[in-house]
Amino acid sequence: MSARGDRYITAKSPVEGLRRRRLSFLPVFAQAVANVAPAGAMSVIPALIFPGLVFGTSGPNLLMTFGAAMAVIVLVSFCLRPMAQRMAAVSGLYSYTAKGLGPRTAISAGWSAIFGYALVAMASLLAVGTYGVELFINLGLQLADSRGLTALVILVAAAGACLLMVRGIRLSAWSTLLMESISIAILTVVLIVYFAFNASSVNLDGVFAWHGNFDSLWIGIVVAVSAFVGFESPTTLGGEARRPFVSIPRAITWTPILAGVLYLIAATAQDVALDEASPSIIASSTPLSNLISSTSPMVAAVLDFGIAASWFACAIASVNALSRILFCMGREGVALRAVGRTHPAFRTPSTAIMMVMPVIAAVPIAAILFGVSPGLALTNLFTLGAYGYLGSYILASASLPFFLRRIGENTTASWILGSATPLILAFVLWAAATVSVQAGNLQSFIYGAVFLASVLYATFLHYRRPGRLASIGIYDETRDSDLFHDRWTP
Amino acid sequence: MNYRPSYAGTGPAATSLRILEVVARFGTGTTAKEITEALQIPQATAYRALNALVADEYLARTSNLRGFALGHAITGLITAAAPPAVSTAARNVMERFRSGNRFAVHLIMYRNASLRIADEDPDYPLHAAFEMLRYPHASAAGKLMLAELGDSSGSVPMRPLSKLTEYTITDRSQLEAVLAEVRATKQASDVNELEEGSASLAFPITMPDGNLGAALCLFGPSARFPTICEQQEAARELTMRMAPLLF
Repeated sequence: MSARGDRYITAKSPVEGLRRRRLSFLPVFAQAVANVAPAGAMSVIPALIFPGLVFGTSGPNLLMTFGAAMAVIVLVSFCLRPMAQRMAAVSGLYSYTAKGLGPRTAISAGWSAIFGYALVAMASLLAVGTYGVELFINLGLQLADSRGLTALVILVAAAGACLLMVRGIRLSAWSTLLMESISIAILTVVLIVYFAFNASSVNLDGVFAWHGNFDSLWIGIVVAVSAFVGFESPTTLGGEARRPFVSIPRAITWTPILAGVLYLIAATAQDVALDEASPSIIASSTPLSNLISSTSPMVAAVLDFGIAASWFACAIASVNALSRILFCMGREGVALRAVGRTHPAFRTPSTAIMMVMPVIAAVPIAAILFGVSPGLALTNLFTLGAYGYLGSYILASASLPFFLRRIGENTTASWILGSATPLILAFVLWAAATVSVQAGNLQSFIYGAVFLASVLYATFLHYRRPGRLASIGIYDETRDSDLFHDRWTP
Repeated sequence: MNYRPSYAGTGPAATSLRILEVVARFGTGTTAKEITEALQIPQATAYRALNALVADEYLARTSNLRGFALGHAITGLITAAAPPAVSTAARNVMERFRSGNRFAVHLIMYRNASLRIADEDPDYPLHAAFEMLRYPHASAAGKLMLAELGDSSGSVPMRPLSKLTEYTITDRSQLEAVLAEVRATKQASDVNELEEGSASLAFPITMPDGNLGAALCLFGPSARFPTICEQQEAARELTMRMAPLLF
């Protein structure tokens, strides 16, 4: 045994095969921002909360809804941060939960996160298709039936995303950063220009007025939270980030704040803009684009491009995160062993990506081909995805004090934060689920079924495959090369 | 484990350094609790400092995340600050060689791409000790090290090569040619390059694994460089005897 104590440092990393410690801060940050997709969310999600389609004129106040959602998400980021500072996780909240609440709970957290990422990736591809087609229409393309074209756009986007992700995390992270920057820039400029031209008719009174009820506020918060989800996805890059204990905590702290500020501005703007728009625009699946299209089709086309780019980046970021969770599960033996393989040259979890991508592309294509309205499909996919994320957030934030206690670093603050945050999240989730069930919606049952399945699977593992359950919780451990070495050689 | 630091600083920098000292003393696997107890500092302060040290890789967490070990970022500081240890047997061999020699004989050791003066000739102290450690391209011992490092390692400073005298090699390609020659002949020389009027000849002392570990340096007036070169055979024989005493 060497002086460094071999029992403390493992010789071979359990997540061997990924390109280790190469991503600088910007691509890590880009992973978070792209997965949140602020540009896309700014233009789609407020409109989903707003429209008469769901609530009529008694819809909740947009500013209040987004403010509350931001506060909830910032609390979650406070819970995740101490864990991100201590553990270079490759599978994000799944790893944290495994270390905090144990492997059985981790299965539920992992499945919830995978469910969330998958649903948001599907919704993103659907949004790419919808806005892609809208772009062609604004450019003057006449279409009797846009369904075939939408499906084609989705297929091409899915193939392109797959290629970028398999090719390497650096390439996909940098391309998402590029696309996200373009789309945020386009959206900001378009909104500013729109208001500069329509300044005279702007009426801010409605923005701050409270005319909703609390029932619609809860479901509104869940939908608004779905505009923030994905901010935690850099926690799946612990192995690949160059300085994981700096860049990941920083990215998950600042992304919700940045996105929240953008949303508050955008929500105000759209509240004003859509207030005076005709009901047909409000009820459409691309309201912002339609609104501007009535002024200038060219500007609308640019806007469509920006929004589609943002959603494309979001699809990539979601699947990047998802594939790394699956990769870890494969390595641990709680998912197919094959998904634990990495590409020999590109060093990405390529098998997981290639297995997941067809499913993610198939759902929106099927929805389009069967004639489901894109607006309705988007609302359902995003809300369902938000349930998955919320489920994983609850379990991961509840893990914080147990995680810290396990390594002997718990504090009073961690117990307060780790109990208050999951309670608030659970309350929001419960209130939203109640409202949704009363409205005859199946979303909460679908997520409930997924959660139940994960519990059953974990129970099965507990009794039949305890060895596999015990191997849960792998992460990018310290290696010999990370340690101090007294080298005599020059 | 009872440990009280001799000097108790209170600033954040002092806290960080004292934590590093505790981890170095207690060894790999030292926990946050042991550190707060040893240093008598508040938990929150310790956790903040520990997280910052881990973030910058001065410390690394062990596999169970509870314990700490010194990280690779501290390597430079420790090896640069710690003086190399030379055994009495090695010093005696050096002493005997010096008594039969009219030139200055120094023992230089290499650690982490830097030169350390391990045993200085008491009769002829090094005039340009600082320059020698600072500008390896100008001295014989420094050239031995640069030749061993090769150009791929990135340890050769990329900044312009300083001109200490008018003979110092400041041209990169010229230096590369000289280093290639050093690799071939397994010895390096400098005439007037480090200091006007002085010359030196350096011979490698290799470690058991064949890597360069130290150098034997003969110093003398540059006018007498040919005479220094006559000592080659004896010096090489000395390096063979020194190697097992040093490594």
